[in-house]
Amino acid sequence: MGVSVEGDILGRGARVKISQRFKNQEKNAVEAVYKFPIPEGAAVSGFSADIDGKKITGHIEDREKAFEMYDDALERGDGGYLLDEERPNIFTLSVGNLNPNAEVMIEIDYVTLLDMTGKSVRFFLPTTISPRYIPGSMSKDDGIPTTDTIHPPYSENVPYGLSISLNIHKGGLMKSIDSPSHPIKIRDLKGDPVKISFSAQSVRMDRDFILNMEYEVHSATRAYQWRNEQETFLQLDFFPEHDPSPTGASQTQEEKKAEKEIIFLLDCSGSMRGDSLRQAKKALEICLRGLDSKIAFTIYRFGSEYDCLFKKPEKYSENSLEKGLEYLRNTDANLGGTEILNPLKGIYDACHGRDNIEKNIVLLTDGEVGNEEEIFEIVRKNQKTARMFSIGIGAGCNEYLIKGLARSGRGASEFIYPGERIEPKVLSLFGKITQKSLDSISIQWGKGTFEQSPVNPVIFLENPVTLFARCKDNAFLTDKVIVNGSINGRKKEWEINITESDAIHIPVPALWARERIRDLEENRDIPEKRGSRQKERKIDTIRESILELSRKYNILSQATSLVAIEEREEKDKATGELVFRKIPVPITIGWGGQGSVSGHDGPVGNRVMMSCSPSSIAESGIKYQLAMPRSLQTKKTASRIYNSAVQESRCEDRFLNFDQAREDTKKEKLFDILSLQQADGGMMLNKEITREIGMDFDDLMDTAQDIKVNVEVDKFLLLSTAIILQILEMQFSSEFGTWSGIVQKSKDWMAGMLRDGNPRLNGIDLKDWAEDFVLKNVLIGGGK
Amino acid sequence: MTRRCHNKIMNEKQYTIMDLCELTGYTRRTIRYYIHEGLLDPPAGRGRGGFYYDSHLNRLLDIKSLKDKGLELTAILDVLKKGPESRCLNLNIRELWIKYPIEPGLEIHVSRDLEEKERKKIAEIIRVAKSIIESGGIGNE
Repeated sequence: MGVSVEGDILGRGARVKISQRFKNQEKNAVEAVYKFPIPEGAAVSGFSADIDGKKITGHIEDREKAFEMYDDALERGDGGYLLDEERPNIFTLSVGNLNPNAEVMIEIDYVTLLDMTGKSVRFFLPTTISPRYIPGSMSKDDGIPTTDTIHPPYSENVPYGLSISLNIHKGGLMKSIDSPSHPIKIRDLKGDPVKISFSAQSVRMDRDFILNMEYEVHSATRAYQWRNEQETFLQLDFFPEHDPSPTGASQTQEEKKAEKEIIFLLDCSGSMRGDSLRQAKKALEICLRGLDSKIAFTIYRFGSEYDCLFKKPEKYSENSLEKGLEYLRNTDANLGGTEILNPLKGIYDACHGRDNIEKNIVLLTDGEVGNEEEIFEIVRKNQKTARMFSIGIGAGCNEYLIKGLARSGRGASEFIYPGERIEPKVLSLFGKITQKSLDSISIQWGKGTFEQSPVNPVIFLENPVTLFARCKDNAFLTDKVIVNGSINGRKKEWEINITESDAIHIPVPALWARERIRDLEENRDIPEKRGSRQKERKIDTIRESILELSRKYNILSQATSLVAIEEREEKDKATGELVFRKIPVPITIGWGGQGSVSGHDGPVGNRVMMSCSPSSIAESGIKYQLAMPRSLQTKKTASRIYNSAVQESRCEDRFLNFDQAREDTKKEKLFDILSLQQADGGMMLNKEITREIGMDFDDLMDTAQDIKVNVEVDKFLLLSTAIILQILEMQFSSEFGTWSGIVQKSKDWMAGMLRDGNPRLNGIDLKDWAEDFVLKNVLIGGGK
Repeated sequence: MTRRCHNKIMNEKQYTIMDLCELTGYTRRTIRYYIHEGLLDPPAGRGRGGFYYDSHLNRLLDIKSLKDKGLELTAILDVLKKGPESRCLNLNIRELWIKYPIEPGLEIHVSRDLEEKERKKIAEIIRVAKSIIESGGIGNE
């Protein structure tokens, strides 16, 4: 097997081991270089090389010192193994002096937090590095072009594949598991652990692996304590829930009236051609249809050049919506390179003079650029001008750019994998755009000094976030963590009891150190620059801090490398010519319109990941079968993929399977209902949906005529909206985070009708009538 | 510490890779990269630990100089492959110089890439130089 991955998923975190097997089939000793991705937030802490049963463990060194150690080893004829971080999500492995016929197994360990939304947890394993656009202005001081630092060579066929084995612990609380990227096998669905593998023994590494896990309940707020001999750390999993009570922190009238602008920024560069642009346009259309009349919007599209729909955002109306849809229809991925900086500068410049309006940028992109830091800097500088929300699209999008943009612009991010339902992602993001994040956050971790990481978290209601703290100078721990913040001007306090973390918990020191290093790398706590000398001193201090953290917690960073040296006996030393080989990787499926996730996948052979001579690679290259996996032969929803995976796994627990199908049906109905929303906010029931949710369309039409109302309005529209709003409140309360933002304009429309028209039906208020009606007549998806 | 050896037979200086780093300011990683990419010849002798000569050093200094002038590595490789003539040609394309004859046999060449302020300063220097020569100031001393 070329690459195998083993992992343990523990709640919000995962511990992962990547094993890469190399074999030299050439006549000379070889130095092989392989570039591969790892999740951008991962703390890479383990690195070892196994040569014929002899295990050499790597250690952290300053990046250039590590290279010198590696290079010295190669000069001596010893074995050298080096792991460099080029970007937080791109790594270079160098395997040196691999003698003819010799084999080595490289093992890389990391821990990471998983993305969470509502009740869903997403395990993400990137497998591809898509070709990235590097603007001409980019240069590196060390003399090596950026493009060669981050890009591997690409090949249509490579003789290695990927296998995976995951254990999901405490899976008993889980409702469903699915993968939009690969057919999977699930074993022991109710066991602990639940075991996950690919249906095929090995798969082609041309798309990222995604595993979605849905839990029975929302993520809980809790705090853990982790002690080692010298230090104590705390982890806070925080989930600020929506408070529906009248005194709760819901939107105030001022907040509701506040003007908002949304500036959509659509990537139309060549890499977006095909699946990605189709999905991005669909997502943008859903966004547009869900806008509120108080929101002004415009659309920018960019490649090498950019243009826009309206120079100044226009108020949402039937007319502006139609113009927006027309603009989208005429949009194609034909605008060349991915020059994000220029449209961003254009947008920020255009924002001046409208300081009293809250502005939000929604960027839809595959993120295939190599100048991430430059982009983060401009977004960071303008984070008070406009918040940044980013949607990553595609089978191998640049996670670092998408998440880094959201961090820099104090917004949020979402990822849409080809074939995944777009609506929940867009609605979830809209739930955040339409609310202000928690303000004035202060966290009391205990008495004394604590180093919190991330330093300035962005926290939205109904969205989980994980924070860490290291106790400094024997700070005194109390039994509670206290979080203070304000929502829409109202202060709120949360008290969270601290418990001891269990033995299998993901190590908190590594996660704390990774977050801290990221805070430093992204310069988020650098004060305003006063002078270049001061700035240089600050940069030196930051670098020193990163080196110290990296060494102390054995975590890789961009300033350090992991190096392992295999000292050989004289007879084993490589003495002849050393041949340099770069390991080719497959190009991401769907990149630039090449292929499509829904039409190209298949098993690959169990080969070592390299056979060093280029000619032998070509000769031994496997003709990949282009047969589609069963789950992807038609456009299936995640639930169907899930079902096929469960069937393949010979799972005995049919009840869980049924429960999942029912839940998926319920969600489908939610999206169907939300699609009824009109530009003005009214929601008109149609025959199909009325039947689906168990009501009689003609009866409702008749009933609507009995409404007595003091304003001119379509009575059926009024009745439909009243019923739908009640259905959402009563039947989809657990999905509040998904629909609340988008439904606000319907609530406002209804509130206006109730205030001005005082509608009554059968002698009672229409709202009360609708509540009673839904309670007695509507039950969706088992009433959950 | 710099270690520089002398090859008695060839009477040519030999350098280690660390010497090259010290003399050029490039890291060892970058020098290895240039070797892999064909911009720099591999070291002489067996294996990776061989020695480098003045030709290696000069090649690295050439790369650095061309890079400082804004050339991409592919263009640098192209220029270096074609030899010194090509280098002059390419550099002349990129850099425009204005020639100011002062006296027969004496010219001042000024880069056209200068900022307006700097150009004015140099124009003033040329004017002063001409006036000194015209007044016979230097020749009289």
